[in-house]
Amino acid sequence: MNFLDNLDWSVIPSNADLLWSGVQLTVVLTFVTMILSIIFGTVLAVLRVCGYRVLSWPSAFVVNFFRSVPLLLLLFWVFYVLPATTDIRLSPFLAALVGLSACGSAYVAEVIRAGILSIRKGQREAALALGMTRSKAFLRITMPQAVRRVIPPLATIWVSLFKDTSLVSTIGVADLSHAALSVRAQTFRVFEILTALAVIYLLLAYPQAKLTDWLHRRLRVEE
Amino acid sequence: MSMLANGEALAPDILVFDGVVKSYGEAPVLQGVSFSVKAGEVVCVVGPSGSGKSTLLRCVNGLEKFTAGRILFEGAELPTSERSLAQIRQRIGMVFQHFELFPHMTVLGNVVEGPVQVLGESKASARARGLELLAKVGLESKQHERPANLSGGQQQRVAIARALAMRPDLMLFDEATSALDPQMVGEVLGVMKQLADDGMTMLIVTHEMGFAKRVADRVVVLDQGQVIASGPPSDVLENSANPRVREFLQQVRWDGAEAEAPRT
Ligand SMILES: Nc1ncnc2c1ncn2[C@@H]1O[C@H](COP(=O)(O)OP(=O)(O)OP(=O)(O)O)[C@@H](O)[C@H]1O
Ligand SMILES: [Mg+2]
Repeated sequence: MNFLDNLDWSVIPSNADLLWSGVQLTVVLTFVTMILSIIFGTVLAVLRVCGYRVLSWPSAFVVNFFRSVPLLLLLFWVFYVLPATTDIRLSPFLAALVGLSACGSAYVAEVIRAGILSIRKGQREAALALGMTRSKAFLRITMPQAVRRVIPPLATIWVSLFKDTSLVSTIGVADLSHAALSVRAQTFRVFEILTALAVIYLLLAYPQAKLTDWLHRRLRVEE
Repeated sequence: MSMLANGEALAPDILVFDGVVKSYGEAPVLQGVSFSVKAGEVVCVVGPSGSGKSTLLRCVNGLEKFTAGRILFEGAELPTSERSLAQIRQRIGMVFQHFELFPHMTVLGNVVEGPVQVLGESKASARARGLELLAKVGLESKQHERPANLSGGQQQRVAIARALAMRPDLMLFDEATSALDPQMVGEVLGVMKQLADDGMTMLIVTHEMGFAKRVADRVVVLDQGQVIASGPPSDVLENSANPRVREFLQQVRWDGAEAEAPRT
C-alpha cells in the first residue's frame, strides 16, 4: 500500500479553528516579545556603552546570563521554579512572555551594542565639536546611525524568535505548535499535521523576512 | 616697540597655549607648547607626522584632555566639566580630516543641526542662514543631497559651512585637505582663504606649505611636541636658520612634489 494514498488531509480543515487560534497566539506572542525585547535590549545596550562601570557591568552580566541559558530551560525556570521558590505565579502566557523577552532582550542588546560601537568615533566628536552634550550627540548622531545598521540583524532575531515561540508549547501555552500537537494526539495524523505546521510557519515567517528586507533598504544610509 | 606699531598687537588674544603638556601614559606628545592666536589672525601649525599637531588642536576644544599647562580661550581657562566644555565648543568650529558629515542627514540638515539643536534657533531661520552658507561655499544646489553623493572636496566644504553655522569665534582645521584627491585640494583651500580674508580667526594644521605661505599671518613649527619655530611665514618657511626646521621643510617639499604629480 502506498503511504501517500493513505494520507487524510481533511484533518487540517476540520481542525482549522484550533490551528487558527494557535496562529493568532503565536503572532501576538512574537510581536509583544519583540517589542519588549527592543525596549529592554536598547536600555541594556545603552547602559552597557554609557561609560559608567556601575551601569555597564550589571548590564553585561544580565545580557551574558540570558544569552547563555537555553530558552527551554529559561521557560521551565520561570514557569515551574519561580512559583516553587517565590510567590510569583505566572500564567503560561505570561511566563512565556517573560522567558522569551528575557532571551530576546539579551540578543537585541548585543546587536544594538555592536551597532553603536560600529559608528566611527569621529561622528561623535563632530557632534561634540558643534557643542552638543554627550547625550544629545548620542541621541541625534550615534543612535540614529546605529539603528539603521542593526535592522538586518534585528530581523534575523525577529524571525528566529518567531520560530522559537514554538518552545512555549512545552509549558502549556496554546500557540500554533501546541494546537498542532494536540490535533496530532487526537487524530494520529502525524505526517499531515507536521507538514501543515511547517507550511504554516513558512508562510508566516516569509513575509516577515521580506518586510524586514524592505525596511532595511528603505533606511539604508550610504557612508 | 615695533609690535605696537603694526597694530595687530592691539588685537586681543583669542587663544593662548601656556606650557601645554600632554602625555599618553609615559609617552610625551606635547612638551610645553606656548603660543597665542590673536583675533582675526590665521596661524598655521606645521610639522612632521606624529609631532602632536592633531593632539594640540583637539586640546583646544576639549576632545583631548591635556596633562599640564593652561589653554585660555577668550581670556578664560578651558573648563573641565563636560557641560561647560560643550558651551565653549559652540564658539569654536572644527573641521576634520575625514569631514565627519552626518550621513543620515541631508547637506542642509548637516548645516542646520548645530544652530537648531544646540543654539535652539528656529528651523526657518537656521535654514535660511544655512542656505546662505552653502551658497558661500558654492554648494547651494546640493542642499537636498546626502553627503555620500558628494565628492570629497564638496563634503569638506559642507563641513566648513556646518562649522560656520554656529557663528564661531575661532575655527580649527585639522589637515582639512589631506584626505582629498589632489584636484579637490584647491577648492577647499579656496574656501579657507576666503574665510581668512573675511577676518575669521583660524588655527590650521596643514601640510600645504604654499597655502601657509600665502594665507598665514604666522606659522608655528611643531616637532616632537615642541614649538621649534614660530613667526611670519617668510621667516619660518624660507629663511629659517634652525636645522630641524630646514630638515622638515626639505621633507615636505619632496612630499609636495610627489602629491602634485597627478595633477597635470
Ligand atoms: N590615543 C593615543 N594613545 C597613544 N598615543 C597616541 C594617541 N593619539 C596619538 N598618539 C601619539 O601621539 C603622537 C602625536 O599624535 P598626533 O596625531 O597629534 O600627531 P600629528 O602631528 O597630528 O601627526 P599627523 O601629521 O600624522 O597627523 C603620535 O606619536 C601618536 O602616536
Ligand atoms: Mg594629525
